Amino acid sequence: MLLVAEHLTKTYAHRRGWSTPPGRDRGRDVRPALADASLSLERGESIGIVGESGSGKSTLARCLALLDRPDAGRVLLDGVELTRLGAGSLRRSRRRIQVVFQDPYSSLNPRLTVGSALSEVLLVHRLVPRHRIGRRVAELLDQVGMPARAADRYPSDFSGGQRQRICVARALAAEPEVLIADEPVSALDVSIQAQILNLLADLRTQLALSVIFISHDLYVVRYIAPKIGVMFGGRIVEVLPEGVPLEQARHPYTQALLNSRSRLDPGWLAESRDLATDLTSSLPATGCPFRERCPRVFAPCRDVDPPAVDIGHGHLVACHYVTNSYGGSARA
Amino acid sequence: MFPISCAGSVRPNATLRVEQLTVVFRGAGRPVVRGVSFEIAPGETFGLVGESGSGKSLTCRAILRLLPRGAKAGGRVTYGGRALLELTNAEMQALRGSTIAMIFQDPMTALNPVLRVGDAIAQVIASHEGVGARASRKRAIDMMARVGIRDAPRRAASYPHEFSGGMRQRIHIAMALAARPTLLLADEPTTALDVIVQAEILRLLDDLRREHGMSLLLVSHDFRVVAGLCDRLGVMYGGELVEMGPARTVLHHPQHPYTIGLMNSLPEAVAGRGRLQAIPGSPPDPEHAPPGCVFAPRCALAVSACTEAPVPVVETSPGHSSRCLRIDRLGELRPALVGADRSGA
Amino acid sequence: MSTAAAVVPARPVRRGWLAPAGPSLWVGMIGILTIAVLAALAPLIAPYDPTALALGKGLTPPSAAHWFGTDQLGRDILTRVLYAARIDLQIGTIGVLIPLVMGAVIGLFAGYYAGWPDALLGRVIDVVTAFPFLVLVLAIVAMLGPGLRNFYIAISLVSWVAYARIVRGEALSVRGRGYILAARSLGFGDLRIMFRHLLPNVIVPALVFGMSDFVLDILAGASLGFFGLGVQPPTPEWGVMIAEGRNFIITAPWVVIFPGVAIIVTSFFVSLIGDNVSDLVRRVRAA
Repeated sequence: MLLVAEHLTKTYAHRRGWSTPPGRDRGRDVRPALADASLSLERGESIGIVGESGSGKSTLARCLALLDRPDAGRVLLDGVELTRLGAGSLRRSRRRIQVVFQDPYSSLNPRLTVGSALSEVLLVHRLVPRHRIGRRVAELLDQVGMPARAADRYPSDFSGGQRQRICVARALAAEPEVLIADEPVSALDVSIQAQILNLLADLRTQLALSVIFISHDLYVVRYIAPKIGVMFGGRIVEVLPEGVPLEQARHPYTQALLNSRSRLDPGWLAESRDLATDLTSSLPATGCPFRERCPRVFAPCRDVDPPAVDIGHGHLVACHYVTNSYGGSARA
Repeated sequence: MFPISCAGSVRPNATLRVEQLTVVFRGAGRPVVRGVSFEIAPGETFGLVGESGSGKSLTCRAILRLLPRGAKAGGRVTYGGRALLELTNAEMQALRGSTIAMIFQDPMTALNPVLRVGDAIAQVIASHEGVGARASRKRAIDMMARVGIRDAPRRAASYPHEFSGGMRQRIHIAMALAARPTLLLADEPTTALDVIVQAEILRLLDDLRREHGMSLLLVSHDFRVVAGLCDRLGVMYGGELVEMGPARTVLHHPQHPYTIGLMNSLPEAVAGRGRLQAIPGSPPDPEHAPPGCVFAPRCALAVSACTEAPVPVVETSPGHSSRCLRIDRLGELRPALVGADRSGA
Repeated sequence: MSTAAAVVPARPVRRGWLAPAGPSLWVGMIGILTIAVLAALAPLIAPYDPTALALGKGLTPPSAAHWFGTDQLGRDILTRVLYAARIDLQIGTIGVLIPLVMGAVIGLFAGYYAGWPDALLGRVIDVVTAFPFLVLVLAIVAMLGPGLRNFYIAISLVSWVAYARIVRGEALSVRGRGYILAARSLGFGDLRIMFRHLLPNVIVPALVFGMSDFVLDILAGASLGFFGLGVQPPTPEWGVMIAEGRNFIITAPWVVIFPGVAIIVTSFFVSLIGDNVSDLVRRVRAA
């Protein structure tokens, strides 16, 4: 196992007024941004994470990359517990898990040339002897489809798609084993998205990278990674392993997502069925986070957070209705 | 204080006709919207699709004369026989909201953060329909319930920040439709919303459209969004309308290299087999677009004739037109998405 | 490798601190340069000795022999203005540089780490700014004794706070930007991130403030001179020249006019530079 995350939990404290004790939000408990999230990746295996805003997918990305320390749970890279490392060793280990962020416009230091930004990575981690730095920078740029001349330019000379390529090059400069892409194409035009997606898919195979691809767009996630995790309300509610198509999803939220997603077929709107509605502004404090919108809600959903259960071949579902209908025997 | 509009002066079965619309920024190069022409029949939904710089938003705003400072619209826009670009400011003001309404991507552009939402909607009703305060309040609450806000009488007293994004958009729609316009312009209304909420808002728009007998112009960068809702589609690129026709034929038998390229680059197109066919390069800055076909620099079928002169519109089948000189060679682009339903792919 | 990433712009966009600005920037820079050169060459070009007394020739108006006239002790004013330029430019420069460096570093740490370092800095800033600037400087100099060195100490102890506040504010807003997060994820150390990534992006507003502070420091020097706590006689300094000549404003106005004009002209040039730097900040922000 290359990367293992176990029971990651993270709550962001809201700064309320002096009179509100921490953890309370106008009398209700603050829901954790990420609750009990676990996943594992073999070397070279990739996973796509699908979720809407507020699902906790970005928090998961940050915890996996140790940009935020989880309140509970651990992250292990090649057996080393990253969550236990001190500042110095953690900094050195960071090289192995790199992130490409959503906004290419703010991810690059406007005062550094592209070449400086890339060579800085090489220098800090001492990956290449000094005299070879220029050549390595050119190699990296070539790998992401940018001309070598780009090294002398500043980020503001480039378009969004080009900047995102530069960000990918910067991440690759660290020679990572895991690449976390947090909504890398959402801020780009449609005709550019395909270029970046192709790039990521190619790099994944060429460099045997493990890619964790996070997006709200089901189609895009499915293109990049055969294994898919679905998040809602801070939890991973379903994991579809390779070989299990999306259409066989069992969690009511995943099904709602599949039904509601827009597609190129004219008239899809008329055909989609109302499986869930969003008429509430906040998630319930206890029990299953989806219960107020779920067509299958019943008694246990209100009090008990459904655990993730393997219903066969690594297909995990966190839903009382689904696991109950399996008679609980799926816990084998 | 609130002017009474002349909402009755446009018949409900009016047609929107846009002819050779141009939008130029003062002191800039070429117009950012060039020669755009289309029609929306009464009760029809028309989708305008394009990426950034395509001019779709400006086209939408030009109809209501809500262009940014320094932008000037040319050409002819008529609705129900009235020439919109030639009306006085006061006449246009009277039309907005009552006859033609617009909703935006960010509902907070329309929602005053210090006004309770019930009051905001009631104001629209009162100012356009000349109805008294109590009656407009009641209608506002009805409108809120109609757009799906639970517990509307109580929530009418809330402020916009107390609602989630999806609900704010519903309130925005309620405000726009409160005075019963006959034409609704929607500029990326669901772009900032989550997938499930997006579907609901689109469904809501569709239902309301049918109920009120409205025409709808839906502007989006997402083909899939317009596919669900629209009878006809127009594809814009670099300030020009490059293809237009019934939704079904544009989606299943696209007649322009850009449309084909765009659909080929969507992940559905490969359905797990091989790489996406990306369009090389980036969308152009319309002010500096070259003469001739604006897509030529990125087009695999381009020849020298494409860059020399503006490309005329060609009708490829009844109601379906395209701005391309190489329509006969489109087969070479191997459109991957022709035919069947993609929902399972 | 995948599809072409489109053309990289052929013409490199001008970068750097001197982006094409209006003529005012050049006027300002040339002006200050001129004054600095004149000050440096004072011993060579001044017609007289700045401290040479000629009590018999006190308060003579401007003439061919004395272009700026003489002061109450018969000293040539032109010579004194030139020599004073050295002191005043030094006051302005050092009086800005030391607090700038101190304040920027402290503000940088506070803004980057936020949390308690920032809260602590906030309280210190509150205390120091509760006192009027000049009062505090005067008090410190009064305790330490008069003289230029103590003046610098006093200014530094009081001024750094303004710079710290500016840099801290900018740092707090920039620290959340994508490239700072990216630098952390790339495994860069805090110091590297602070000084190589954060500092260049937050320092400019502090530099702009420094321009106006330059002038304020000169005026502060003058005020101290007024109380006899600044530069000690017979060393010439514009502010002290004005202070000493205040009794002769009606009878021999040239004694105060020329040093006064020197202060105004210097401030003017400095402010021109400051205006353009702040313009530059605006343009860089908008990009």
